[in-house]
Amino acid sequence: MIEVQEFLSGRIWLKENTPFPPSVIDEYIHKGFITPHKGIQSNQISQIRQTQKCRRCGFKSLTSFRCAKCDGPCLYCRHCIRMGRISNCTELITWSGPVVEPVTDHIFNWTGTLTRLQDKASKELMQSVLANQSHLIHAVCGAGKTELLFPVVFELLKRGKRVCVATPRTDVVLELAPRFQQVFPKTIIHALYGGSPAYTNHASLIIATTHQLLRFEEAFDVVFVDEADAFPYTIDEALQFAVQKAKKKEAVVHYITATPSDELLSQVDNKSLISERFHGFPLPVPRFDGLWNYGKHIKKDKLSPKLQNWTQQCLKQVQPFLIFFPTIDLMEKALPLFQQLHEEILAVHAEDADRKDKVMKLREKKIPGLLTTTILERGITIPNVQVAVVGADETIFTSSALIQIAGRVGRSIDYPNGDLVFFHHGISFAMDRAKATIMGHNEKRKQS
Amino acid sequence: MNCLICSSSFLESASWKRLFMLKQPEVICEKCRSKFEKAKEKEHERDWIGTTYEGTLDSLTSYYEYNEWMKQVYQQYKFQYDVELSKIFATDLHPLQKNQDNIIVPIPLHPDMLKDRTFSQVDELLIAANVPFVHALTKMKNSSQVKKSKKERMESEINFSVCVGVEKRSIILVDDLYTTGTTLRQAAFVLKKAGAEQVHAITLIRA
Repeated sequence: MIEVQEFLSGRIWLKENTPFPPSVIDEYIHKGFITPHKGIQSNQISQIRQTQKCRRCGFKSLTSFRCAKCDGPCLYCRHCIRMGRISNCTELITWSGPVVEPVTDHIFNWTGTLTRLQDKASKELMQSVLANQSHLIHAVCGAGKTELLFPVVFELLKRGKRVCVATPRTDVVLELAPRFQQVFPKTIIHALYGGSPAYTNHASLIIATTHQLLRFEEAFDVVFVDEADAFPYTIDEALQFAVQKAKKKEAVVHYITATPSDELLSQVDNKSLISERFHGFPLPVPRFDGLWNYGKHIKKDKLSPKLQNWTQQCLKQVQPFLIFFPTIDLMEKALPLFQQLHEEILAVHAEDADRKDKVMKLREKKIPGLLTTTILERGITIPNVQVAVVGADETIFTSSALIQIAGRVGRSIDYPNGDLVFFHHGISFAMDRAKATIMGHNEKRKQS
Repeated sequence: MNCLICSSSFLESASWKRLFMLKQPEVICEKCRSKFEKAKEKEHERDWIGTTYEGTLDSLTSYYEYNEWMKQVYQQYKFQYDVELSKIFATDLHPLQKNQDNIIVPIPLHPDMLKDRTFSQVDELLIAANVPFVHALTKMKNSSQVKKSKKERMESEINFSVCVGVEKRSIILVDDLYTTGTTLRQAAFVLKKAGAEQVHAITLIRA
């Protein structure tokens, strides 16, 4: 029984797709240890109207088709189809048998220290967590947000709690998981993202993309959402639904981000603000530089002299650089022009399979620089990187995107500065707001 | 309209054809559409010369190459059961509507397989394009060609029987994927044995 119990506790899983034989599942259903649920939930909202939604992701715009299994019209959910299709005639199962024995025996193998501000925020977070009140850590890029979670997570694990650190970005999961495993060497930790290995045992700590939380239900005593404002979490309702569904009913969600939305700021009562980077240097402030008709220039196979000079400066001083573009199209048109300056300049975007590899090459100084879309706006650290944004006034560059992009510069203690330029075709509100926010943090830093 | 593949929103350009309903509405964006590759003309008979199947197929037409993009999209359709994606290829199969003289026969699934998959991927392609068809064949054993080698496939036992009268008729067989051509030739073989005069084949993809 232990195997089924460990696997299914806190999960919501397609009945036909478990690691166990169907006879075993049926036996537990019979015993009442497993509860089956209809894949599509119907809600009678009035005598003549009912609404349907997917039991796993909450999506309501379902697709109808002629089903050979139920021999008639049927509905399925396209929104979470990559996790195995949910239709009217499929069932989801949850564990309703004996509760898994909590693991309280954990080792805390962390030798680092927290800065005064990190320590203060960590203690405030601990207080909120123990009082079961939602908390927001608002910390600038490079403040060391992950470290301040360690003592809090350890305390929770010791108490036998099941903890989840969720983030919208796979890159962040891949970066966080090994760090947590190193700090908690004895703890079973699962890192879950699209294409991650399939685990069947029971983990006390789960580091997952918010998307993967769709596969959990009433599982966690505490959930931390890292980078809560990142795409696509803010626009995809299913992901917010996933976080709410994955936590136990009485559990609360805590948020950690450098760029909280106004909504998030007003939602959460307990907040900690860290305006200083872990190394104590101020945040680099962006400079604005007019780059007129950059789109037209690039389409005519020309690089504006300003952009050319900026790039050549980086090449000459052997400083790695990132140049952000508003669209993949524009970036791909510009790539050959940059490659005339240096043939090893590469470009990355969200669907690029070699993304990790290319970023690694830049970090290892095997290539001089990268052109990128907003995909690299967060989660990456490259010592001494110089950053330019082309078309910073485009709507895709929201103030939080610009703040995150700015946060790539000066992260390492050896190079706390670097050039940060927003090339524009007219200054946007978002650019002004980003600059004002960054300067506000620096002002705050001086005071504290 | 949102693209069925990448979910980005797009606008279909206005045209007279669309206005008079002569063309199916576009369901995917231009960028996703452009990644499909039209099938190149390829020889298909050579492997079969000297076998009992020589000359069973009177012609073969395929629409698309089996490139990485097609693999990905087709995988989502056939194995993740995303039935809605059948609409993507409606414009390709649409011309079959005008066909009067031939009987259109999709390659069938075994009834057990059909129940498991919940839909027939070939039937749905035709339904999405509003093409009428006849289930003239039944599959006898629930077996798959997927795990077999090319030689094993080509020498496998015939797995179809004809269940409607086809004497002196001309048939258009429709299948999703042409790999070795065994399935189509077996089907054509039994149809000709049952008296069909001509058997042409159309597949969505040529691997």
